[in-house]
Amino acid sequence: MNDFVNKFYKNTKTKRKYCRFKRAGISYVDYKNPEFLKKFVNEYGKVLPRRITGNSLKFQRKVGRAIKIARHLALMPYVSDTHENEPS
Amino acid sequence: MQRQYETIFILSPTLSKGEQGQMIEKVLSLLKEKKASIVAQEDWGLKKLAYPIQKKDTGVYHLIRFLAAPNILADLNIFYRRNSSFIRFNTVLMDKHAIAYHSRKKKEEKETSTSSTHEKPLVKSTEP
Repeated sequence: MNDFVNKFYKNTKTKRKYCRFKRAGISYVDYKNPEFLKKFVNEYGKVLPRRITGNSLKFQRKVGRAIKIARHLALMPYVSDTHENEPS
Repeated sequence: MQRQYETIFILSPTLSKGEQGQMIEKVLSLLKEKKASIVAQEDWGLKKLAYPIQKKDTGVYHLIRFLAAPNILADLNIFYRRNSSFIRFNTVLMDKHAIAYHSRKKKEEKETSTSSTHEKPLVKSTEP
């Protein structure tokens, strides 16, 4: 019976998430380049949670702060509607 | 005790080239007056804004990195707020990571620019 059940749980092992900053050795999140910060924002312009980005707490805060400054400086939108990003 | 700051501001696009230069000069003179030393400047020029500010869709970005005593910030903010042609401004204290990042970036730019100048003289010598 056990083998029968194990068959179903074989490929559901979650992939180990890693913090890209620790791995790449980046230590400063620059608020001036929005292309990089767009990776941490969903298509509505909202900041993605840590469980999805996989960031460590220290860098998730740095990213959050950088995104808020970028929004203030109109480098990034506060709210972006989805059909604006789709290629027309 | 001098600390490194990075100020960036957006000028309204309605200003002419001359007026924009004057505004930037005013900020620089204010900084020099308060005995600040300018480390670097970046002029991004006219850029599209992510959302309209004061009914304007574009703005002229300018960035200045400088070393100064902390009491300069109050005067800088008053200056920005009093002048209507600055539609958005922001001053940030640079921590050690930020300083290291920007000095490394400046070195890289210097290397790429010096390496490109070597090719130019070769072209001159081939002319008869």
